[in-house]
Amino acid sequence: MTNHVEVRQVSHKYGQLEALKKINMIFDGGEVTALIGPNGSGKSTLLRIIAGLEKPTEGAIIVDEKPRDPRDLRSIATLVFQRSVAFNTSVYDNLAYGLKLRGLGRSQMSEKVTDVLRMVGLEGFEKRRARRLSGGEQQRVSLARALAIDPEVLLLDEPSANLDPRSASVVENVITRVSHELGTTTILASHNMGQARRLASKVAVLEEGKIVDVSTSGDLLETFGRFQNIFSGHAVSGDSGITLIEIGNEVKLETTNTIRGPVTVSIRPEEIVVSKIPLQSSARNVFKGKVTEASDRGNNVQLKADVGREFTALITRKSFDEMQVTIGSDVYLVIKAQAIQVTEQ
Amino acid sequence: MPLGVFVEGLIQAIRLILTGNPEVLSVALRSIQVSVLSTILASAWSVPIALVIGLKNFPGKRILKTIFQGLLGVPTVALGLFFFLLLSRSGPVGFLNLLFTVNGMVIGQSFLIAPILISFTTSAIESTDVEIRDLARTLGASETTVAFTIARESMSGILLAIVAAFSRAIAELGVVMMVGGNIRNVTRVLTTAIALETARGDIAFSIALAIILLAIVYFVTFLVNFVQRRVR
Repeated sequence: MTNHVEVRQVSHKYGQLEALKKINMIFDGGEVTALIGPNGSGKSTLLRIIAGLEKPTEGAIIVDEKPRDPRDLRSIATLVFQRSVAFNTSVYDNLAYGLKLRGLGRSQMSEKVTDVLRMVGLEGFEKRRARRLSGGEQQRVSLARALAIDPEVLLLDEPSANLDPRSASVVENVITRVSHELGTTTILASHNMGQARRLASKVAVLEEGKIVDVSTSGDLLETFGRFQNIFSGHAVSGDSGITLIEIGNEVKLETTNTIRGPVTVSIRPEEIVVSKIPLQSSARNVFKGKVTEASDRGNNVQLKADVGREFTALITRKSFDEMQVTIGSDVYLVIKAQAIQVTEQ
Repeated sequence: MPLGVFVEGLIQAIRLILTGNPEVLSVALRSIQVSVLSTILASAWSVPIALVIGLKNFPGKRILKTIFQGLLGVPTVALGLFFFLLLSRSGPVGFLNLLFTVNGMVIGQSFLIAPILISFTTSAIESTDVEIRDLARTLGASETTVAFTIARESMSGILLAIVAAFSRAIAELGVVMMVGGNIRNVTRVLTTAIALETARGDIAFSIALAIILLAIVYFVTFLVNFVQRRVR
């Protein structure tokens, strides 16, 4: 299978909300591509459109150089949802659903069900009620059900979100195997940068309905650093040759670049200084906000703080311990003008 | 002596059932026949209507649902009167000779219980996880297959709608009285017989019939609960 999927000038609106804005992207046949980006960036909408579950407001999905309508797409691609969904039947009947629609005989069906259950490590689960399985087992059933129909394009929305480590590992192994052995074109949406790096040969970053970067997996560590704080904004001239970029919610960044108009800004988390008190410094950008999340990163701690927009900062564990910040603590984020990367949209 | 009358009625009910009183048996069987047929007839067109309302979005959907919900409380005697006028010899469909027949009662009752079936089934379908529809579609199901899948997934709620409709049919008086006419051995059913015997002053016999009526309703409810557990 070498099904190239091309997303051409795709826009999608939910009422007044523009979920996707003129997206152009080529997903190579037989490769795994990861879509990463924050919540609401349009990852799931893009997957639903490629799956044929929604018709884009504008644009087209091209598979192997032919524009496809949603009905065609539903026969080519299948989507594994983020939340485990199962028919209220046995595991066997769940897996056989798509096979019955394709007119498979009983023995072929049984053979296929056994095969895919073995792939996801759930041998012998045929007679179990699908909805009575654990979350991880249900998600593996979801993956098996999608694989059973031999899709040409496999779409996965956060395939291992909220899974136990064993199930997450099984899911990742199966995705790799399917891509390598069967050459299935695979597109997965993920929050998990590490997972994207492990599984995908190409990574596309979505921000506010636009693809702001496409890189190969090798560049992903760089991408990871750059794309923790990505915002769309509008750059205008300020006083004394500086540039002011409004990124929403009245948050304005001062930068030294000369680009004007619609821009995308990105700031590496390690470039942001976190302080509990206002600092006297040369940095041009100081914002007061509240800590919304703190997560362990080995010797470092990743802090998220809401200052009108949410920023991610990376500080050492020692600093974190000394500052004694918790969720809800008031903090100041300090960013040098030169630390802000600006690209034209 | 209400308690005394009740006990007497209970004893008489047991005696009538155990001795297989032909009058009681005939009335009870006719009640079951009319209610079962009207439930089948109403289900045949109400469930597909509910599937369309539950699965499709169209202008006026909310108004349509409100109309059916309003019809849940339609007075049975008013509907009975409507069908009496419709089916009477001088009425628009009088030539069908359905007035004072079991078939006429079945048709009248099927209209009475249709709003229950439509409203409850629509609600059951709408409460089925929306992702189940997407799941069926992403596995390649056509819109018709999606509808069948949703109906199967909502089966527990649909069964509840059917039992509620059956219970309403077997327990109502207005339609069967007006359309059936309570003719002995022809259209007399449990509710019309109870009304008649009470008017005649045979309270114990009325209570006996009422107990049989309740027993049928509970039997059907238990049966459906059993089936629902199997479906789940």
